[in-house]
Order: sequence, then structure tokens, then C-alpha cells
Amino acid sequence: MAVAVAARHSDERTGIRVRDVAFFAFLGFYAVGGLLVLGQGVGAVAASVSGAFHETLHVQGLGTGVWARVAQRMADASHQVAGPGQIALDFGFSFVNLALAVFLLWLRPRDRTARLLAVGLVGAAGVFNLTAQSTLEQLPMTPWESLAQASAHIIAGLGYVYALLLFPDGKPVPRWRGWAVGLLYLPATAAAVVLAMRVEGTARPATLLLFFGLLTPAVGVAAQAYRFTRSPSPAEHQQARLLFWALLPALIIGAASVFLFGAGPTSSTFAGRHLPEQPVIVFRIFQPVFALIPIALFAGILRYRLWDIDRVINRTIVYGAVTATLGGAYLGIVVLLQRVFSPVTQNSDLAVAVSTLAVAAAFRPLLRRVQGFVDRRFYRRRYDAVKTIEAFTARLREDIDLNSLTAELRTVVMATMQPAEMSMWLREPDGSIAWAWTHRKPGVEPSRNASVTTTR
Amino acid sequence: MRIKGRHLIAVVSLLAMSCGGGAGGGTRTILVDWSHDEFASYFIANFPTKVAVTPGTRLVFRQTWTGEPHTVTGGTLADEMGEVVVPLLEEWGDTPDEDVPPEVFEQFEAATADLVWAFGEEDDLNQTAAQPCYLDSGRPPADGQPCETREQPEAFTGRQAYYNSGIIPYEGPSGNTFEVQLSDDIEPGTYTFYCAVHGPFQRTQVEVRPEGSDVPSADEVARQAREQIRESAEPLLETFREATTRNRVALREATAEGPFAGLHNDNVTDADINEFVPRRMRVEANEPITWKMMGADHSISFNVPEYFPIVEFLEDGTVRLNPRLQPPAGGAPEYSPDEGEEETAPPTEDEEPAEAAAPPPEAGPGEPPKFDAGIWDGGQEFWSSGLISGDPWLEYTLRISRPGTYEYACLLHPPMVGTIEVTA
Repeated sequence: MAVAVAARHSDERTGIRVRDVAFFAFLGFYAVGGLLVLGQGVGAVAASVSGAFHETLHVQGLGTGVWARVAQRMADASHQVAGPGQIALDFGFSFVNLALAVFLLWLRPRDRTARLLAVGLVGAAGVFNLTAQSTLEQLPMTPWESLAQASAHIIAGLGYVYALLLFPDGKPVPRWRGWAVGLLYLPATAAAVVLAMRVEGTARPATLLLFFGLLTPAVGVAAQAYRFTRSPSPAEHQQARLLFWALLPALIIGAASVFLFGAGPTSSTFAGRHLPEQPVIVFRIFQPVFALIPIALFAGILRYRLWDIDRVINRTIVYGAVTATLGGAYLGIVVLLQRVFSPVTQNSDLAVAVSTLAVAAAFRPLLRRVQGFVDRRFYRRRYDAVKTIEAFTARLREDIDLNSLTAELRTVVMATMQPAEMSMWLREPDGSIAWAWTHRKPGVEPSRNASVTTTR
Repeated sequence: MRIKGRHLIAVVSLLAMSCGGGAGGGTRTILVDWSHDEFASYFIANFPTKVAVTPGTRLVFRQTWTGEPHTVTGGTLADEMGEVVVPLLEEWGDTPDEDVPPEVFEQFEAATADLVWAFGEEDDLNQTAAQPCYLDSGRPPADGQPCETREQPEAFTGRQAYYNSGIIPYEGPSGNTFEVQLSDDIEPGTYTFYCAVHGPFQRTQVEVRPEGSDVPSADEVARQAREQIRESAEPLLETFREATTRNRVALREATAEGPFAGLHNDNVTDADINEFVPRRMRVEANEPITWKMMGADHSISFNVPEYFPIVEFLEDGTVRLNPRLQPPAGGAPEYSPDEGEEETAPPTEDEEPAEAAAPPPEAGPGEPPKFDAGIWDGGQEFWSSGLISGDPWLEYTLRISRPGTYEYACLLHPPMVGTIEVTA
């Protein structure tokens, strides 16, 4: 008899689809663009520190072509680079966003919400880096540059907005027909596109405020509030609540900023004169506010064990410990053997070879031991569940009495999965399916969804 | 298809040709004017002043828009003038006028007597020089009218008599360029390009060497330009730092204390700083603000319109000074250094009469002139002092009666903006 429990996740399919390739190609291209912008910021910082590099950039900037413009931007921006604290804030924020984007895609490369979030996070990493953005403002943009910047903003903006709409289950809310939901989302989509196209020059402060201070958190708050109040799933209820409370400060601060600053505290043009000044206040307000969102997401994933995070953490702990142990052992053995062999030979190759063999031989046994230790220490429940199921599987080969088997199955499932309710149906000899029994925890209302399917 | 050796050779050759390093041809950038990295400025100069190239090189005259108009003017007439003038300038250019022998001035004036200047004596524009003009032979019109040939030839052969870009149009804050393609058959020699607005003081001599000669690469030319900029700007950088840190500037005749509208260093004759220092000020209502206006002509202007350049180009090709630049506006009194008393522009129907400004006191010898512009009420309308200046500086005083934050700018120089916070 085999026992099958409905799988919790549906993306266990293997094989690469065309749209997977298309998405990752697009994301790679988008990320390269973002990294180029961030790279200009790094270049400006380097030029602010190194006089020789600064001069080289100015010399290159006197040429023609794309690189000359990039060099001149970095050279000119180097005069406005802020102190180490602000540089750390800028690039720390960008790093957090990029790292979380990579992490989300590693966890769930095919999940729609993860993909949208990753796009939004990659975009935000560039948009909210003041040091990098200041390089773009040093020269008035060419039409192509404006188009590229507007496109990048639109993609990041829509990615973020739709990620917040679809988090955590990847399905839009409310659960209306497709056209109705599309119509509902249309104003936010249009507003996102219009605002994202205006994030430059004089309009930068105002549009950043409106987009990231009002539109994005407003959409997210509305969607998560809906899930919070209407979702039948307790887990989704909690996840929505977490993100709701993470987005609400952003909305409040954004609304207050729009009220206080109006069109923005500074402009990068004044009556048609190009002035490379940045809306510093806007950036400093929204960097921490928008850092809350990925932090809340990460906390939610950890807290509610989303997207097999347990497995990731488990693997990280185990392989990290094994790597550190074997690395230290390798060094220690090399040093020890070199001392042992030095009277015999000056050549350290023997010590290295022996160390390498020793480490290779120790890898698997050490991995098993560390995995067992971690499971027993940090994942006791899962460890016990595995053991319980292994024992039950062994007894299956010996015990053929159906009644005792079903009773033991009930015990095993209750011990390992603690369901609120479980029912069993058995296939009769004539092919029909007959209900055998239902077990319910005290206080749990009857439901038609819980089932354990048996096949014979 | 198999890649054969000759294909590779062709590809490598094409790549080598396109690099344009020390080889002939390629592009060389010559800077026309410059705004310094650390402060807004103008330089009546080209950088570098000398460049060696080979036939077929494309010269890109890259103008930084600082507010000053420029031309790129060459040809055989310019070369003849350059043969005499350039050595004089190289020897005497940094010498105070009073120490220059009279015969030097005589030689200079003789060599430049036939120069067509873009600005006439009355500050009107000479259309011959202000508009493009390309002559294979002869001389440009003496009547100030535009030439017949205003379309730039494909190449500069070195044999054209007059090769003039006209005033390079303003194309936005990113600056503009004027390109000169040297012909492949241009004779080796030295060709002078100067600015018809500012004269041979602003020039680049292009030495054309025979094909295949060793010439500096584009990067080397750029480094040379940067080095010349650094040398020229060093005194100005000291002045700027002195003004921003200690709020004072020491000139030959006196020491001035801020705030400043423009900055000047007596050791620099071809450049000035175009900045309001400090950029932000806080004063009380009706407290007098006295700017030391030095260097180039500047204006103190509030509620400024979208930036407009000093010259405008009409549809028929005529180039003229922008009439909105010079005069005062919004009821501001007019400063005239040649007259004892100021003139007050009559108020329009919609505006209240400006406060009558006190007549300027007599300025003693060496004392900077002073002018009190009275009180501005902080209204929404455009208000401008007009373009003004003084020697060694003009002390321009204004009071603002209404509390608020006011942004102001110089109409001529784009990055020259400031902010005044007026408290009650």
C-alpha cells in the first residue's frame, strides 16, 4: 500500500521553458543596466578619492561617444560625492535589494510573485542610490538616455506594484473575473507608467514622492488589507498583515512628504538651467522606508516558512559548517604535514596532496554527521517525522492487516503532520470508493478538504 | 564559411584604422570656453592652444555653454593675422598693458585691422561674422552684411580665404559643437582658428603634419587641454576658495567682502568665476543686501523666465542680441556708470512704482562704484537689475521687504543661481 499526500507546491516540474529563458534573459539585461548605473556611482566615489583617476576620467570625458559621456558624468559627479556614511547608506540599500532579489529567485525561480519582486528590487537598487543617480544628472540626457531611464523606471515600478498586489500566493485580488480585475488594476498601472516616465530633471522629487511615497504603498496596503481581512488561510492572513504593517509607514510618510514638500525640496533644473543638484531629502526619507519592504518580505518568508525556506536555511547551515570545518582541517593538515615532512623533503606538494585526499574522504561522512546534528538540534520535529515514517514503512512490509495498518497510518500522520482533520477512503473490490473514517482535532469544524488518499 | 587569413587581415586592419590612436586621421577635440569642475566660470580661450594633426583629421570644437558666445573662424586671412599676432600674444599676453612696448600694440593693431569682429562698437552684431560665412577667395563684406555662402563646405582645405562658423547656436545646457573636417589634400602647415567675438586672444593653432607623421593621440590632446585649463584656473580656484571659506576676495586695488555676484582674480585676464557666493543667504526683511559684482557683466534677477542665451537667431538667419537681457525689468532702477544719477524705469499699469533709489555717492578714484536699487517687494513678476558691472567691482544694494524664500539668477550665466531667505 502506498500513501500519497497532496503536494503543497506545484513547481516541482522539471525542464526549462521558453518563458523561463525569456524572463531570465530579460532580467539579466535589466540587471546589467542597473549595475552599470551603480557602477557609475562607484566610479564617482573612486574619482573623489583618487586624483589620478579623476583626471583620467576628465581626459576620457573630452572624447566623443558613449564612454566619453559616462566618464565625464563620473568625473563631474565626483565633486558632489557625500561622506562615507551616506555612501554606505546608498550602496548598502542597493546591496540589500539586489541580494534579496537573487535570494528570492534562488528560492522560487518560477514563482510569479518572486519574479516581480526581483524585478522591482533590482530597479529600486538603482533608483534609490543617490550617489549613482547623481552621475546621471551631471549632463542633460540624450533622447535615448531618457528613454532608457524611463523604461527602467516603468519596469521597476510595475514590478514592485504588481508584486505587492500578488504577494504571497501569486493570484490577484479580489477574486473577480479577469477583465474585471484588469479594469480595477488599470488606473494604478497607468499611473505607474506616467509617473515612472517623469522621474528626471525638475520632476524627479515630485514623481519619486508620488510613485514610491503614495502609489506603491497605497496599492500594496489596499491589496494586503484585502487579503488580511478576507483570506481563509491563516498563513496568508498573517503574511498579509506583516506586509500591511510594513507598507503603512511608507504610505504615511509619503503622504506627509507630499503635503510638506509639494513639488519637491530641490530641483535639478532652475528655469531651464541645468543644475546637478539632487533631492537629497527625498532619498534619505525613502531609502529606509523602502528598505522596510524587502526586510518585511524576508521576515515574512522566514516567519511563515514560505517557499521552502526551511530547506534553504538547513542547507546553508549544514554546508556552511562542513565547508568551514573542512577548510580549517585542510589548512591544519597542510601545516602539520609540512612540518612532519620538512626533514625529508622541501617540497610541500606531498602535504597538499595528502590533505586534499583526506578532505575528500572526510566530506561525505562529515556531511551526514553534521546534517544529523542540525536536524536533531534545530529541526527536531522534522527529524522525528522522518524517523517515524521510516519505521512505519519498514512495518508495512510485515503487517498486512488492513485495520491495524489504517490505525497505524492515522497515528503516523497525526504524529508527523498534525493535521486539523484527516479522513480515509478505501477502494472496494468492485472499484468503488468508500469512506472509512474521519479524525478531527477537538474544536475543529468539519471540512471537506482534508483527505488522505490510499491506493492499493 | 571558413575564415581565411586575408579575412582576418582585413578585419584587423579595419579595427586598427578605426582606433585612430597615433595614426593619421581620427578626431581631435578642441575645447571652446570651459566651466571649471569646482565652480562655474567662463574662459575666453580654446584648449589646447596648439594641436598637431595629419590631413583628414576631424576637428571637433566643443563649446561649453557658459553664457559667452563664440565663433570658430579660420582661413588664409586668419593665418596671415596669426603669423603676426600669435607670437606677440605668446610673448606679451600675460604682461600688464602698461608694461607692453607701444610698438607691440602697433603691430597688433596693424595685423588685426581687417579683422571682422562679431560685435561692433555699439554692441550691435556684425552679421558677416555673427552668421556663417565661407569664402574661397577675397575678403568678407565690409558692410556687416551676411555672406552669400553660409553653408559649411565638406572640408577645410586650408586654401579658403574665410572659414567662419558664425556664432555657434545655443543648443541647450550640454553645450554644442562645431566640426571642421580637414581635407585629405590639405598642405602641411599651421592654420589659425580664432573667435570672432573675442579675437585672437581665443585661438587654436592647428599644425598639420604630413600624412604618416607622428602626432599626439586624442587622449594626449585632451590631457594637454586639461593641463592648460588647470594652469589657467589655479588662481581662480584660490579666489573661489578664499571667497567661500573666508567671504573675501583680495584684488590689486582693494579687498572685497561678500556676498559676491561673480568673482575675479587680477592675475587672470581671460577668465572669471560666475557664481553667487554664498549661494544661500539669510537676511531680515528690509535688511540691505550688498553684492560685490565683479568679473563679467551680471544681473540680479528674480522670477526669471526659462533660460535664454545672449544671442537669438531669427528665422531669416539674422543674429541679434537678446533684447530681454540688457535692460532692467519689473520696475528695477537702471544703473548707468556714465551718468551721475540713476534712471528709474516708469512703472507699468499693473505694477506699483518702485521705491526711488538714492543717488549713488561720488566714487573716488580707485573706489568701487556703488548703487542702491531700493526695495523690492518680493512679488511674482520678473524683476531684474539688468546686465551691469563695475571696476574693480560694483556694489549693488537691494532690500527685500516681504519674508519668504527667493531664488535668483544671473540672466547671462546659466549656473549662476542663488537663494535668499528673508525672515520677518
